[in-house]
Amino acid sequence: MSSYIKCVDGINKIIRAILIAMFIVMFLTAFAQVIIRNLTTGSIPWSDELCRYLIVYIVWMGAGLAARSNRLIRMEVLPSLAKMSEKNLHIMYAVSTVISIGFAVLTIYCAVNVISINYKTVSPALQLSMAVPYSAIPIGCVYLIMNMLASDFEWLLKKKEAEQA
Amino acid sequence: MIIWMFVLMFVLFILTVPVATSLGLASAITVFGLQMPAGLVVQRFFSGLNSFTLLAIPFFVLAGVLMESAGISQRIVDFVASMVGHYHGGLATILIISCLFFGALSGSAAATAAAIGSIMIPSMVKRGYDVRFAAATQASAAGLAVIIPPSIQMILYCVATNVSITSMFVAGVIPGILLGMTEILYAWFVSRKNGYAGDRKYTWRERGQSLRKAIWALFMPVIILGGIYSGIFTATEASAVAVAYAIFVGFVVYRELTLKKLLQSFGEAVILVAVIMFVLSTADLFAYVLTFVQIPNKVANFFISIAGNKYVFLVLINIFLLVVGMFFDPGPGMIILAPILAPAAIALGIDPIHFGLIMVINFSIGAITPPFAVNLFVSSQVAGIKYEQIVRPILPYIALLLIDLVIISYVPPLSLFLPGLLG
Repeated sequence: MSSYIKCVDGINKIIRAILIAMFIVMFLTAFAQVIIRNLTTGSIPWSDELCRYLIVYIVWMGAGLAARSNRLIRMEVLPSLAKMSEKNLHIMYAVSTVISIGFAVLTIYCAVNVISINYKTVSPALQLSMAVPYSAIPIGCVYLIMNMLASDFEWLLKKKEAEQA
Repeated sequence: MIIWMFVLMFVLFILTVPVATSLGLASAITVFGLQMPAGLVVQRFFSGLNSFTLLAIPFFVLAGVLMESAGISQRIVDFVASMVGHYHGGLATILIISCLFFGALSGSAAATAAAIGSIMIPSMVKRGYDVRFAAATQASAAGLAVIIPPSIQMILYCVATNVSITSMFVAGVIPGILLGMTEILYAWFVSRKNGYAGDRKYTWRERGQSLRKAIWALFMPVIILGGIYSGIFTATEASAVAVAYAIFVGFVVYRELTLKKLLQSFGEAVILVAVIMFVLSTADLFAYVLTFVQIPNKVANFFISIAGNKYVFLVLINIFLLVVGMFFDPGPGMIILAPILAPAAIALGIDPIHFGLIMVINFSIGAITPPFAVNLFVSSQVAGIKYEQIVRPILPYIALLLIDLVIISYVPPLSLFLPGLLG
C-alpha cells in the first residue's frame, strides 16, 4: 500500500511539471496573440485552438492532482450536520471513491466510443487528430481514480500506524 | 427519468462524491436511459471546456495567485491602511476593501477568506477587536469578492446564458460598491460602539510614499477593467494581459517574484483552475440533458404560472437561490442553475444581466448563511475559533446584505444604468 502511494506521488510530480509547462505555453500563446492582434494586422491562426485543447488537459489531469490533496469540491453537508467522526467521514470518502470509479469506467467507455469514430478527423487549425484532445478525458479519469485511491489508502495506513502505536 | 437523475444527483452529493463526478455520473446514466448515443457524454464534457471565452477563468485565477506572490496584494493593503487606518474600525475597513480588490481575481470566496484573513484577523485581534467579529467581517467581505468584477462567477453565468461578459462586469460595479459600503458602515458602527480604535494617523508625506509604492499595484485593475470597458481587449485577452502585468511588476518593479515562486504560482493555479472547471466540464452534459427534455422551458412555464409577474417571481427566486446557496458552493450552483432559471427570468421580462447579478449576490450571501456556510467554516478556521462562535456576529451582516439584495432586485437601474451607457 505504501509503495502504491509513493508510486502515485512520484507520478504526480511529473504530471504537475507537465501541467505547469502546458499552462505556461497556454499563457505565452494567448499573450502573443493579444500583442500581435493589437499591434499588427496579423494573428496566430492556431493560438485559440491550442489554448482550448491545453485547458482540457489541464482540467482533466489537474482534477487528479486536486483529488490527492482532497481539494475537489464536494458537499460536506451531511458529515458536518451529523457531526460525523473522522473514521465515518473517511468511510464516506471511500464510498465516494467507489462511486467515482463507476463514473470513470462509464466515461472511459464513452470516450473509446467517440475516439474510435473521430480519430481520423483532424482539427481545423493544428491539423491534429481529434483523438489527441479527446484523450485527455479518459486519461484524466484513470489518473483521478489513482489519486482518490491513494488518498484513501493513506488514511488507512495512518490509522493502522496509530493503532499499533 | 429526469426526476431520477435529480434524485441520484442529490444522493451522490450527500454521499460527498465530488460535485463534478456526481453531475457527470447522474447525467451519463440518464443519457443511457434516454437511449441517446454514448459518445455524447464525452463530446459534451469536451465542449464544456472547448471555448475561448472560458480561457478568461484560468488566466484570472493565475493573476490572482500572482498578485499574492508578486507582493501586489501587500502594497494595496498598505496603501489602504495609510489612507483609512486611523478611523474607528480602520482595520475592519482595510480588510473589507482589500477583499473587494483582489478577492475578485482569485474566483473563490473561500480562498480569499483564507488568504486575507490570515493576515488581517491576527492584527485585528492584536488591536483589541473581538475575534468573533473579526472572523465574521472576514467571511462577509470575502463573499463580496465575487460581485466586484472581474468575477469568475459572472463569467460562468455569461457562458451559460450567452450574455456579454463586458456588460455583466460593468453591471456589477454599482451593486458591488453598495454592498461594500454597507459592510464598511456596519463595521464602523460596531467598532465605534465597542471602542475599536484606529491606528495612528499617517501624514500626507507617508501616504504619498505608500501611494508611490502601490501605484503599480493599483494600476492593475485599471488595465484589466479599463481595457475591457473601452473595448481594446476581450475579457479573455484582458485576463492574459493581467497575468503578464503581474509577472512584469513582480519581477521588474517590486522584485519579489523569483522563478521558483513563479512556477509555484502556476502550480497552484493549475489546481484551482482544475477544481472550478472540472465541474464546468461535466455540468455541460447535465445542461444538455436538461435542455433535451426541455426542463428550462418547463421551469419557465412553472414560474410564470405560479408567479404571474416578475415581482412575485423575484421574491420566490431570491428565497430559492438563498436556500440553494446555503448548501452549494457558488461556482457549481451557478453552473447548474443559470441555464435553468435564466430563461424563466427572461420570459418574465427581467433583463438577463440584472438577473445574473441577482444570482451572483444570492450565492454570495448563501455562502455566509448558517447552518451550512462554506465561508464561515473557512473564516472560523483561520481565526482559530469554533464555528458556533461566528454564527451570532454574522447575522447582522446577513440582514443588511439581504436588504441590499432586495433593493438591487427591485431597482434594476442600479445594475443596468452603467451597461446602458456602454451601448
